[in-house]
Amino acid sequence: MNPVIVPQNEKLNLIILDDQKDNKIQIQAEDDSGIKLFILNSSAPSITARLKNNVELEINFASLYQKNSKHEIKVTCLGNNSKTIINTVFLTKTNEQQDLKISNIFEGQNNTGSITINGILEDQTRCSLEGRVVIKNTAIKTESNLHEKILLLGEKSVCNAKPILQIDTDDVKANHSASTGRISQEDLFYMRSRGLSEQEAEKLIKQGLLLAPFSHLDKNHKFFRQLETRIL
Amino acid sequence: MLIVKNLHTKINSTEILRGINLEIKAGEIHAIMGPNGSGKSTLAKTIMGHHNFKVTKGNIFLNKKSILNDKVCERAGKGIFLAFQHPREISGIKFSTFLRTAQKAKSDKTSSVIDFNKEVKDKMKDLHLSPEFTDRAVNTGFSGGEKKKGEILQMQILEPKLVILDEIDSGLDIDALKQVAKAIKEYHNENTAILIITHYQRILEYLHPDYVHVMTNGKIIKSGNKDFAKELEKNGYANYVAPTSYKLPATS
Amino acid sequence: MQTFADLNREIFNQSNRSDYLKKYKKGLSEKLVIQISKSKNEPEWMLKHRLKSLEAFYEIKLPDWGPKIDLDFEEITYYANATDQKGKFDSWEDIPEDIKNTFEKLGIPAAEKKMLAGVGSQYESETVYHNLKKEWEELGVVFEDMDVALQKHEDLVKQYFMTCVPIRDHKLSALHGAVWSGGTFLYVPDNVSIKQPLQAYFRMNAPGLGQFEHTIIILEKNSHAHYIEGCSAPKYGKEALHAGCVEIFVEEDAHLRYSSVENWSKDTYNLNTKRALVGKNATMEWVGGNMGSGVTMLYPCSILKDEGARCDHLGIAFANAGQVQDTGAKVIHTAPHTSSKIITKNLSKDGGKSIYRGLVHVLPQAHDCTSNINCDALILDPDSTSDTFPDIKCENTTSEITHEATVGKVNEENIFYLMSRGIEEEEAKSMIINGFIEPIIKALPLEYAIEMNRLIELEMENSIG
Repeated sequence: MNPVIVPQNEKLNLIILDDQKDNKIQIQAEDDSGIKLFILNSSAPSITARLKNNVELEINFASLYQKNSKHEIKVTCLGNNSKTIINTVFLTKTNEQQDLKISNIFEGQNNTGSITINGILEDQTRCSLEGRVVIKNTAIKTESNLHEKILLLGEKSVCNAKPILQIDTDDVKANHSASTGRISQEDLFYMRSRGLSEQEAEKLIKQGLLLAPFSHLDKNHKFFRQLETRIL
Repeated sequence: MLIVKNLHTKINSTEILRGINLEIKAGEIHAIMGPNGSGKSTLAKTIMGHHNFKVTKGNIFLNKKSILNDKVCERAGKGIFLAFQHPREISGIKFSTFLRTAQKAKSDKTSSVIDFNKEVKDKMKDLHLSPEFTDRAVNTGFSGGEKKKGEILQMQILEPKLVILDEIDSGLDIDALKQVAKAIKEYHNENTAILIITHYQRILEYLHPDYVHVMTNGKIIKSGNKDFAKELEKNGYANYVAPTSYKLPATS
Repeated sequence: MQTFADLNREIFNQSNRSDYLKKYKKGLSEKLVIQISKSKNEPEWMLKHRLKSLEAFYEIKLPDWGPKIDLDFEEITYYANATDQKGKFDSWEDIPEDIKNTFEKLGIPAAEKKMLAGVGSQYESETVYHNLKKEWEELGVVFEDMDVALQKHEDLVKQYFMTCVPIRDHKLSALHGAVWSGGTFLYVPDNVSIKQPLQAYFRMNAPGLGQFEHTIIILEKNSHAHYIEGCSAPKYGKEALHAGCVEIFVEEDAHLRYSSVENWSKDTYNLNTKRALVGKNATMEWVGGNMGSGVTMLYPCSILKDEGARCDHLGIAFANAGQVQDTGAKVIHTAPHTSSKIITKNLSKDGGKSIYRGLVHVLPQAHDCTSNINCDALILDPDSTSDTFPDIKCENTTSEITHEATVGKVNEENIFYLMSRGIEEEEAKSMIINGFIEPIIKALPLEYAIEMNRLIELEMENSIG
C-alpha cells in the first residue's frame, strides 16, 4: 500500500477488519485534515502517520486472539496545533504473543497526544509493550499522556511493559502511568457485593477494560460492534 | 487607593477586558458581579499582574502610581492581596513555612517564631481550622472550604491594604461562609479596601458593599451604591446582562 | 557564587597532582594488582580473587546502553598509598578560604570538615568516634575500614565478599574486584538496634581517593541500623573514575536504611554498584542524592529473596550543566508477598541531562507481590532534558505493579500564587523545588536534610561559565 496523503481540509475515515495482507500503512496528513482509523485484527506490521499543522488524528486499534501479533504504531507531529489520540486494546489466549510498539513523536509546537493501551493476557500468553513519547527541543507546549493497563489472568501469563519518555525541553506537560497485574481485589469485591459471581464480575471487568477506550464511538459503529461481539 | 482606567486586557489574541473603569477608595467595599466568562477573574488577575494577561490599553494606579510595570511580588509588596478562586496546591511545602516566608518577604522586621505561631493559631481558631492545618502541604488535600479559609488566613497575616476576593464564597457551606465573612469584616477598616468578586448575593448580605458593579463581556455595564445592591438582592443581575446570555424574567 | 566545580579546579592545581601520583604507574596490569594485594598484606584467597577479576575485566565489554563512557582505562591511576592520599593541608589554618566557606555554607559539622579536607589531625573525629565505638563494640558491632576488617575478621569477610555483586556482573564490577581498596565493613549482630546513624567518615582511615571503596553491610536477624555514606561536600578526588561497590545483606526481620549523597567533582565518572539482598520480612531502605560527577550511572538494586521482604528506594538526581545523571533503581521480586516502592525526583538545569532507568521484575514464583513506582522530573529550562526508561516485567499473575511518571517545568500558576504573596520569582521557584524533593529529603537525618537542601539551593544559584 502506498503512502496515503490526506489533503488539506480533507477527512480520512478508514475501517480495516481482519486484513491478512502484510502491508504497512503510511499516512501523511496535510494541514487541517482529519484522520480516523479503525483497525481490528490486521496483519499490517506498522502504521505510521506524519502530521502537518492542525491535524486531528484518532487511531482505534484492536488485536484479539491473534497468534504472534507484532505491531508498531508511530505518530509524528511535524507541525503545530495537532491533536492525536491512539487507543489500543489487545486480548490473547493459549500461547499467543503480543508485541506492541506505540510511539508519539513531537517536533512542532502546541500539540497534544494521548495514548491508551489496555490488554488482557490469558493462559500462557506473553506481551511486550513499548509506549514511547519523544518530545524534541522544538516541541514546546506539548501535552502528552500515556496510560497502560494490563491484566494478567492466565496462570502463566507474562507482561513486559516499557513506558518511555524522552523529553528535550521544559515547557511541556507529560505524564504516563502503567499498571500490570491481576484484577483489583477492591473492584471484584465491589461487584460481588452487588450480587455478581466472581466469574460474572471478572467478565464485566474484562469487557470494561477492552471497551472503555472506545466509549466515545457510536454503539452501532462497525468497529465497535465487531469488537463487542468478539469480546463477549 | 485603586484606580483602573480604561483597562483593556487580552490573553493570547483574545481580548477579555474591554475598557474597565473602576475607582476604589480606602475604607470602601466594592462588589463585582456577573456571569461566567464576563472577565471578573481576569480583572482580578490583571490587577495582581498575571503574566498571561497582557494590558493593551489603559492603566492601573495604586495610590496614584501606575503599577503596570511592577512584578507580581512587587504589587504584593505594595499591599495588594488576591484570594484565589482556585488556590494552588504546592506539594511538599508546609503551609506554615509558606506563610512565614511570605511574611518575611513583606518586611524585614518580622515577629519572632513564637509570636508568629501564636498569631497564626489564634486566627486559625476563629476560622475553625484544625491546629494541624498549617503543618500540611499548601492546599494539598484541602477541602474547598479549607482552601478558601487558608486564603483568608494569609490575608490576616500579611495585612494587605487592597484585598481582592475572587469568588471567596464558592464551595463554602453556610457556617464556613459566616466564619469567612466575619473574618473579612473584622479585618476591614478605614485604611483597607475590599473588592469582592462573586456570582451570588449571599456573601453581600454579610459584607454590605458600598458599591456594586455588574460586569459582562469584559465591561462594567452598571454601577451603583447600596440601593443598587438592594435591588440586585431582590431581582438578581440578570436584567442588566446582555440578552444573549440570559433570558429576561417574564414579568419585566 | 562559586560552584563546587570551580572550587575543585582552582584549589588542586596541576603541580600538586603530578608530584605524588608520579610514584604510581597509570594503567592496569597483573603486576599492579599483585602490588596492591601485597602492600595490604592480604590473604592468598583475596589475591586470587583480584586476579580472577582482572581476567574478567579484560573479557567483558562496556554496556551498550546509557551514556557514553569515554574512558581510557590505561590512563587511570588505580592505587595510591593511603598516607599519600591524605589531604594537601597540614592544618585547618592552611585550608583556602573558599573551602572553609563552602563548609560553612553547608553547615557541615566541624569534625567532618577537617576529615574532608584531609587535615592531618583527626583528633576531634577520633574522640567522637572513640566513645561511640566502645558502645558499639560492647554490643558486638563491627564497624571498621574494609582493609582492617579483612585482617581482623577474615572469615566473616570471606563469607560475604562479592557474593552479592559477583565479579562477572559487569565490566566495572570486575575492575572493582581487581583494584578495590578501602571502604566500610559493618556487621550488626542479632537483635541489636543502633539508634545513632553510623557515618562513613567515622572510619579511622585517611580520606582516600575513595574510587574503589568496597563496603559490606551485614545486618543479622532483627537488627536495625542507619548507615550514611558520603556527604554533601564534594569529595576532592580528582580521579576520573569511581567504581565502588556496596553489598548489603539484610537478614530476617532486620531493617537497614542506607543514605548516601554522591557529589563527586564534575569531571568524574561515578559508576558505583550498590546492591542489597533482603531476607524474610526484612526491610531495606535506600535514600540517595546524586548531585555531582560528570556522568553517573547508579542503580541501587534490591533483591527481595525471601517471603515478606520489603524495599523502599527514594532518590533525587540533579543534573546541572554538562552533567548526565543516569540513575534509578532495580528491584527483583524473587519471593512471594514481597513489596517495593520507588520514588524518584529528577531535576535538570542548564543543559543537564537527567535519566531515570529502572527495572522491576516479578519472577514467576513471586506471587502476591506489589510494587509502586513514582518518578517525577522537573526540567528547569529549555536546554535541559529528562528521560524515563522504566522496564516492568511481571511474570506472576497475582502480583501488581504500578508505575507513574510526570515531567514538566515548574508550574507557572504556582509561581504566580507564591509571587502574589510577595515572594520573589527565584525564591518562589526554589520553594516549589524544595516541595518537589521533600518526600526524599524528609527521609534523611536532619543535618543531612539541611545540607541537601542547601546543596540544591547552591546548584540552583550556579550559573554557567
